[in-house]
Amino acid sequence: MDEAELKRIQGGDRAVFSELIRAHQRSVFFLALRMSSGDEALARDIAQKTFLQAWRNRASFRGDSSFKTWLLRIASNLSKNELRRAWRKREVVPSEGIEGDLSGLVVTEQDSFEALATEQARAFLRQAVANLPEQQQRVAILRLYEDMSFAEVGEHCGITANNAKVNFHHAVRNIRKFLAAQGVAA
Amino acid sequence: MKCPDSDVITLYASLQDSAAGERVEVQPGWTHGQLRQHISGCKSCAETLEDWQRAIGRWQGVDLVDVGAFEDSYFDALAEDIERELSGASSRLATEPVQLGVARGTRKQLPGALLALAAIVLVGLAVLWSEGPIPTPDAPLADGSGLAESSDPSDPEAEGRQLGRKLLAALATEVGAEQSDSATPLWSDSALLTASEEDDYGFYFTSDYRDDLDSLDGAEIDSIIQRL
Repeated sequence: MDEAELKRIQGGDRAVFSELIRAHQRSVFFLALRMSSGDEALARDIAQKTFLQAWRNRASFRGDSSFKTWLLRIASNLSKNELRRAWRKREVVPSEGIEGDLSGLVVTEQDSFEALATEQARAFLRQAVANLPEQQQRVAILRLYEDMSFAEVGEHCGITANNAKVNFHHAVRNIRKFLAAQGVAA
Repeated sequence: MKCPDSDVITLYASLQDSAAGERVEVQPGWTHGQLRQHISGCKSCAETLEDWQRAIGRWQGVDLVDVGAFEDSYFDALAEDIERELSGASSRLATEPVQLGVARGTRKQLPGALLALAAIVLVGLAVLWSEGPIPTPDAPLADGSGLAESSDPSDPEAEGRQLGRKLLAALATEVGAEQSDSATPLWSDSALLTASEEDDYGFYFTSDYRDDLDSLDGAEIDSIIQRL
């Protein structure tokens, strides 16, 4: 986004903002979908709220980071908050919602991750990521699927780049442990 | 040279793009340079490293969601929903230029300050008007009249008491809801509000409280002011 566009948005130009919605809604939606363990309705709701919050707070966007980075930060914080809220209301119980998906999966002893069908592998991976501590989960999703550098991940999560690397290391190790416990060699 | 623990190798893998330099230790006794040199000459450690990197590559290939399942039409509809939401929720604000310069943190501080002020005023009203205990949404008054007490238009004092109770009950609900929501700020560096947002009490209060305020007509408000 150039400076002229930024000024137009801050001046209340909805047409420019609409172009940005079209340009970034996929990234925002997919991040929310990954962070909400595939809950489409929740991800859709988070995507809507993200753009609403971005519009309301457009004055605070100075262009220091990219507009996409700013949007994704709002989306991931909203995801975190919405999941906490859902958990408090017991709409989502950590590890239970997706456990059901795994119960139908049959894994032969020492099956390798590569040998699994894509949907099966995805279900295991999703569960493994959902079981990570919050910070590791965030770091893993941003690093693995949002193609962010550790510096960007750190900025996004409010931690140093080195802290992001260590979190990522623990996340990968924990995912492997979880998969191994399910009989999947990763 | 004895091989480092496999955790050190995998940690090295995660830290590889570090700008820290060759002499910085990954773990006591193992600097980046030493590890790089060791791995280049140790088949077992090189395999550990490759295995780690392969696993990450496989996970990236699978993804957590099936991105391909969402077609363009899905996002056309989503964009329309977002536009509709924007138009509906912020129709008053949509075309206003943003007013800069409101202090950071205003958003989190103002509702609390307003609620505290409202609480003080309403407690004062309750002391003046109510002879019974302060009601809660779920607890009827000691005299059994409860929140649904009907007002007698010929008795302005009773009417004032009823209005005070309604507002207190709504406020108690609002405060309870706010206290139960410990959500973290959405963005650390953006808490600016437009002046119109600050003036808009609907921005801070849930619909319950807003409805109670909106239900007061001019005569009711006049009667409260006159009583004061």
